[in-house]
Amino acid sequence: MGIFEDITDRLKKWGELDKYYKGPLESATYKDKIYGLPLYSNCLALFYNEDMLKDLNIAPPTTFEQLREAAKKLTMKDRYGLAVSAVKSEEGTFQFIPFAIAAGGNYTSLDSKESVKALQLWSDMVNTDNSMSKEIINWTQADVEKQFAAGKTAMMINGSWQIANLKKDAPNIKWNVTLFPSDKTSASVLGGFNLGIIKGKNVEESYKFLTYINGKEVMEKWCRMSGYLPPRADVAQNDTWQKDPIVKVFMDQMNTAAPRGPHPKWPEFSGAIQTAIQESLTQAKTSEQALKDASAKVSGLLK
Amino acid sequence: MGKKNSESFEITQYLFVIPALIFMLAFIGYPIVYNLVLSFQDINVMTFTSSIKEFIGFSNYTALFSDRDNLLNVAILNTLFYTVMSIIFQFTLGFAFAMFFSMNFRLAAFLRGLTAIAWLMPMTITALMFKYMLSPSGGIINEFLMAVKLIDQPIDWLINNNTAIWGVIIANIWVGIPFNMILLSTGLTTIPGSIYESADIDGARSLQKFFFITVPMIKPAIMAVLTLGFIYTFKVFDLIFIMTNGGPVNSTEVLSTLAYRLSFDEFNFSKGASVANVLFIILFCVSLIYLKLMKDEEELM
Repeated sequence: MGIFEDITDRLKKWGELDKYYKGPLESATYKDKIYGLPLYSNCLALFYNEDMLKDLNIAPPTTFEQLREAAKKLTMKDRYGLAVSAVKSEEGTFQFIPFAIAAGGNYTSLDSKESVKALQLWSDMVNTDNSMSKEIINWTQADVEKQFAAGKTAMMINGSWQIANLKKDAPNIKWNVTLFPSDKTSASVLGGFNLGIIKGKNVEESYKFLTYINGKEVMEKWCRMSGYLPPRADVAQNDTWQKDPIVKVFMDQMNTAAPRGPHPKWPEFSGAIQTAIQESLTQAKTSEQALKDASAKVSGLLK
Repeated sequence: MGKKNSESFEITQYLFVIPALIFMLAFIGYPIVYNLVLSFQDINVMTFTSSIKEFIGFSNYTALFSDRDNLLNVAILNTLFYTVMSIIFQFTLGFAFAMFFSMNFRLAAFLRGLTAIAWLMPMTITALMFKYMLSPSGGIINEFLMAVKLIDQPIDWLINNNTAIWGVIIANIWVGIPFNMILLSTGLTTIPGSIYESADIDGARSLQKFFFITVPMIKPAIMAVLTLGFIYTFKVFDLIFIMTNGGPVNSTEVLSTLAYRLSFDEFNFSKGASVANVLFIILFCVSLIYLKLMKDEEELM
C-alpha cells in the first residue's frame, strides 16, 4: 500500500520474532516483508452448553462431521443446535474463513472443492438439517452470543472477547469452550490489532515504541489488564492465560489461528465472500455457483 | 439623511444573512463540491496518500453503470421501489388519520400526539424494534398474522430476498405516517367549514365532498408532503443499514448503503462519491420539480 515502513530487517535484528504465534505475525506480513507487529489478538472457538450436551450424551464435537451430527441431535422445538454469524459484513467473513481453512481452502481459492465444502456445510445445516436458524444471515456475533445466553442455541462459534459478556449475560448456564472443529486441518481465525510504522519522519522513535510495547513484560501487563490474548507464545505461558481453563482453550487455539489475508484489497475479497454466503444460505445459488462467482469477482485482485 | 438610512439598512440585511451563508457554504457547499471532485478522480485505499490525484473523468460513472453485477442499477431500482411503495401507503394512511382526527372528538388531540411517537423515535431504535418484530421465530408481526389466520407459516421477512424489501417498507410506513398526518391535518384546518355547509345544502355526498372540495383545497399541502416525503425517503440510510445492511443478497441495497459500502467497507472513496452524486442529482431534479410546482401554485393563487 505504500504507507507502512518495511521493518523486516530491523525485526530480524531484534531477534524476538520466533516468540510469536505464527498466525498473528503472518497478519503483519505481506509478500514476505513484515510491516508491523501484532499488539493483541483474539480468535474463534466452539462454545457449547454443557447441560444440553450432557442430557443427550453428546461429547463436544471435534470435526465437521461430528459438529453436524451433534447440531442435528441438539436441535429441538425451541432451540437450534448451532449458531454462527453469517451477516453481510466483515463478521460473516470472519466466521466463515476458519471453516474454509479447516476444510483446506482459503480466500485465494474460493472456488476450490474445499472452500465449497465449508460453505455447503453451513447451507446443509440451515436448509437441510434445520440445525441452524435461517436468521443467521442477519445475526452479528453479538446477536449469536445473545441467542446462546438465552438458551436458544446449544452451541455457537464465537470469540475470546465474548467470555466477559457471557459471564454477565448467562450466569446460570454451564458453558464451556472447545477447539474449533477441524476437517482436513485444524484452524481458527484471528482478530485483533497490529501496530505498524508509517513511512516518514519518525521511524526510529516509532520503532523504539514498537519494540517497547511488544516487549515481554509490557505485553504481559497490557494484555492481562485489557483482557486480550497475547500474540506472543512466551507471554502466553504466563498463569493468566494458562490457569483459567476457558482462556487456556483460546490460547491453545492460537496455535492454529490464521489471519484473514492479509491483502490490501481484503475488503473486496470479504465483500465477495459475504455475497456468496448470503446467496448459498438463501438458496439463491448453489454453494458451488456462489463461490465460483465470488472467485471470478476477485480473480483480478490475486495477481 | 434618508439615503444613509436605507443604505445602512441594506447592509444590515446582508450582515444577518452572512452567518447562515458561511455555515451553508462550509458544511453543505464544500462537501458537495469535494464529493463531485472526488468522483472524477480515482481515490481508493491504494492512492489516497499520493500527492498527485489524477482526473479520470467519467470513468467511475461508466464503470458503475455497466459492470460489477450492475449493483448501481439494482440500487436505483430498489431505492425507487422502496420510496414509491412507502409513499403510497404512508400518504394514504396519513391522510386517513388526518381526516379521522379532524373530526374533533374528545380524545382526538391526545391520540394524534400518540401517533407522532412513531416519527419522534430515533431511527436506530425503530429499525432494531422492527427487526425483532419481523423475526420469523417469535416475532410479534408473524404471531399476529397467524393468530388472525391470514398466514399459517411465519414469513421469513428480512431473510428472504423477495420479502426483505417489504419488511423495510413496512417499518418506513410506520415512521412516515405521522409526518403525512400532521402536515395534512394542518392543511385540513385551513378549509373553512362554510364550504362544507354549502355543499351539504346542495346535497353533496361524502365522497364528492372529499374529491371536489377537500383535495383541491389542500393541494399545496399534498404536494409538499409528497415531494418532501419522496426526498426524505429516497435518501434512507439508517433504517436499511440496521435492518438488513442491504441484504439478503442485495435485495434491499439502496443508493445510500451502496455508497457507504464502497467508501467505507471497500475504501473505494471515488466510487462511493460517484454513487452519492447520482443520489444527489436525482434528488436535486426532484427538488426543482417541487420548487416549480410551488411557484405555479402561488401564481394561481
